[in-house]
Amino acid sequence: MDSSRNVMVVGGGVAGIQAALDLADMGFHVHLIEKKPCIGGKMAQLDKTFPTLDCSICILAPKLSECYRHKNITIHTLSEVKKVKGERGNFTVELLKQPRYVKEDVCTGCGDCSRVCPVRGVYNYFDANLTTQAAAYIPFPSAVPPVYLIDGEKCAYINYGICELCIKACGAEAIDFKQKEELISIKNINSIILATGYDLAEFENPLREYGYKKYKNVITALEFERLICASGPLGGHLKRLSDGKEPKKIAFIQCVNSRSDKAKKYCSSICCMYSAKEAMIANEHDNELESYIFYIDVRAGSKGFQKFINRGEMEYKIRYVKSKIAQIEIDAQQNPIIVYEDFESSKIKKLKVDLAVLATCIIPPDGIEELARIFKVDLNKYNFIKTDPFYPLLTSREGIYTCGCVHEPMDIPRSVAEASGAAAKAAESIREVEI
Amino acid sequence: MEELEQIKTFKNLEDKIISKSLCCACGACVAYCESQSFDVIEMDNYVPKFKNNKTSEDCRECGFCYYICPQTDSLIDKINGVHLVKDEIGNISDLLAAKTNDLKIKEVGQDGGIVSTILTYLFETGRIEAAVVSEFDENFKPVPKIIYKKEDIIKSAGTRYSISPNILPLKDLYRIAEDIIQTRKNVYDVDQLRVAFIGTPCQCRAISKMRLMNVKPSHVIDFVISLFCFENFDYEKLMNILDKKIKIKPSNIKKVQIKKNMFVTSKDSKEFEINIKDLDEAVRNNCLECDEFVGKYSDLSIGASGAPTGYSIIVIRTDKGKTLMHSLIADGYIEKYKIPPNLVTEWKPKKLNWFRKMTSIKIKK
Repeated sequence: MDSSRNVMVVGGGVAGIQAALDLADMGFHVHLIEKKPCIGGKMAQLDKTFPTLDCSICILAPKLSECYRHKNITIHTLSEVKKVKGERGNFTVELLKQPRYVKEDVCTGCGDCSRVCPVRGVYNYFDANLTTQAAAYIPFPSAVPPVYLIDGEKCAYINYGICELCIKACGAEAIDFKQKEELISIKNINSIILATGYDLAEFENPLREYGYKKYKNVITALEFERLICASGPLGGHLKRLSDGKEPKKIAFIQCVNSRSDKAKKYCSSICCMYSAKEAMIANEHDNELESYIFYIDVRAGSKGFQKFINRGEMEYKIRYVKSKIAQIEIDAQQNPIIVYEDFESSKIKKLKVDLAVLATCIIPPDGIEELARIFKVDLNKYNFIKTDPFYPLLTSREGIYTCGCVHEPMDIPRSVAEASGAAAKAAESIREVEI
Repeated sequence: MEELEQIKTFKNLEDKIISKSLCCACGACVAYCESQSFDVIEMDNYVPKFKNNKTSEDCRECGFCYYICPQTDSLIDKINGVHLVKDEIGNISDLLAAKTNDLKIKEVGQDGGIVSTILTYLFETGRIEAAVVSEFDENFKPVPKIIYKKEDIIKSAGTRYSISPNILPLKDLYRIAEDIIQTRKNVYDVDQLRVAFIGTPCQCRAISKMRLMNVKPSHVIDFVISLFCFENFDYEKLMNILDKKIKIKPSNIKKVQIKKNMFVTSKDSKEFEINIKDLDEAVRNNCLECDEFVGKYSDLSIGASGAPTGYSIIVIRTDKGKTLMHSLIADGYIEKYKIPPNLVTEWKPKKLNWFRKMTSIKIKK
C-alpha cells in the first residue's frame, strides 16, 4: 500500500462519514476516528430530517454499514486523538483507545451478554439519557460497528471481581476483560479532516429559568426527537413524562441560549427548521395537536425552506408567536405556562401548554480547545474552528481541513456538501504532494 | 489485573451463613437469582435453599448472592463509606420526633404512624410508583408485598415482630411491572420505576450492598426507610409461646407491641402482657449476632425508641431524607414534636450506650 495515500477523518457523524466514504471511493485509505462506541453522531438520534421529512436513520444506516464494510476505511471507535506530529504529507497521529472489553472482530452482536448482565443503571446517551440499560450494551440496534461494549464504571466484574456471567454466556468468546487503555500510533497520514460536530448548551443559565431538569414537561429538542422516534423509549407514542398524558398543545421555544447578549451571540442556524419539523411530526401523530413556536424571526434561508414553514402554518396547526420568553412557570397539573412578551402588542402574556420544547443552542464540542491545541489549528471568537468565508473548508494549518458543525452551526444537507468538499480538498492535497 | 480469588457462590453461602442459622431471611439472594430467571434457589419457610431438582451443579456461580447477603463481610467497608458509617448508630444528619396528621393512619399505625404517612406522601406526589412493605395474613403472619396503589398502604401499618422477608417480593418485579406501568402511565419501562423500600436494618444492609453494585432488582429502589429493630422472632416459635402463655390463637391477634414487655391486643379488644424474657427462646439466632439496631444504611431510620408517647423518632441520614421530611412537615402531613436541642445531641450517645449494654447481654445468651 502506498502509505502517503492515507487520510484521517476525526469525528464519525454524518459529515465525517460522508468525507470518509468519498475519499475511500477515490481509492485513498481512511482512518475514521470516533470518541463514542459507534459512528452515526447526532443524525442517528433524530427521528426525521427537514425539509423532506425523511426518516433520519433510514438515510444514514446504509452509509454507516457502507463505512463498516468499505475495504478502504478503518474505523477506530472509543478513540481520541492525543498527539499529532509532522506536517502536511506526513502526519503521525497518536490515538488513545478506551477498552471496550469486547473483541470487536469476534463479537457477533447477538446480545447474550446484555441479556444476562444483572447490572442496571447505565444511562443510554443515544436515547438522550432518557433510558438506562445493562452494563453490557449496544447504544442502538443498528449501531456500527455492530458490537457490544461493557461499561467499565458499572461492571461488577471490573469493580468487584464477581459475576463473569457475560463471559460464560458469550458463545463467541468475545468478552475480554484484559483490555486496557491503549495508545495507537498511525504514521504517514497525508491530510486530516476535522469533523467533530457539536454539543448542545444544556446546562447554561436560561435553561434553568425555563425550568429544564426541574419540570418534567420542559424538554430539549433532542429529547423530543427521541421521545417521538419509533425506536425511542416511548416507541413513537408521544407522551408527557410527568403523567403519561398525550400532549395536545406544545410550545417550541426558539433561540434558547443563542442570539442573546446574556449567552451565545450567534444563531444556531437549524432550530427554526427543526422546530417546524418537530411540530409537523407531532401533528402527524395526532391531528388535533396544536403547536406554538415562540420566535424572534424565522430564518429559513435554504432552498424550499420557506415553503416548508408556510406548509407547517397552513396544514399542521403551527402558530408563530413573535416574542421573547421571560420564564416558564408550572401549574399544579405540571402544565408549563409560558410567560412572554408579545412583540406585536408589546404586552406580557401567558400561555398554558402541555409540553414545552427548548431549541437549545449549538455550541462547539466538549474539548475543542484541547483539539485545537493538539492539531495546532486556530479557533474563532465563539470557539469554533476558524475558517475563512471564501475558504470555508480550510483551517489555519496546511493539510488540515474541516467540515460540518465544528466550524459553524449548519444543517445536515450543508454538512454533507461540505464533507464532500473537504474530501475533495484532502484528495487534491495528496495529488499535489505526489506530483 | 491481579489474580482474583475464587468467586464465592450459593454453596459458600449455605456453608458459611445458612447452615449456621445466621441467615436473616431477607430474601436478597433469592430475589436476585429469580429476577435473573436462573431458576436455581428458592425460599423455603424462611430458609433459602436449592430448588428440589437443583444442585450446586446448576448454580451459575456469579457470586452475587454471597456478596449481597447482609450477613457476609463482603462490601461492608464500601457501604460504610457510602453511608458515612463510623459506629453502631451510623451517620445522623438530623433527628426529629413526629406523628401523623392522617386520622385513618392514626387509628391503625404503631406509635407515630410516620412510615405509612411517608408512603402516602410519596404516592400522592408521584415520587414513587411502588413500595415494598409487609402485610399480615389472617393468621397474623407477616407477608411481604410490593404495593403500587395508595389505598394498599393502610394494610401494611403497624409493627411486625416476626420476620418478613421483605426483599423476596422483588423477585417478581419484572412480572408485575407491567401492571404498575399500566396504572402509572408516566413510566415507560421497568428500569424507570421508582420504589420505596421499608425494612429491618439487616434488609436495608442487603439493599445497600445491592444498590452499590446496581444489581437488579435493586436498581429500581429509590428510597430506603429502615425500621428500628433490636431483635426479631421466629413466627412459629412466637405463636407457640403466645398460645402457651396467654392462650391466644394467631387468628385472634389484632395488634402486638413491645414497650419493655410484649403487649398483645386480641380482636375482641382484650389486652395481654407477656414478660419479654419469656420470649427469649423465640428470638432468631441471627439476631443474637446482629450489630445493628437503627439501620445505618438508609435514607431515614424510624422507630419509637426514645420518642415521647404517640410519636416516632426519625433519624435523617441523607439529603434526600431531609428534603422529604421538610416537605412532609411543610405540607402538613405530619406534626413535629419540639425536642429540646440537648435531647437531640444526647440521643445518639444514650442509644449507643444502651445498645452496647444490650448487645453484651445478647452475647451472653
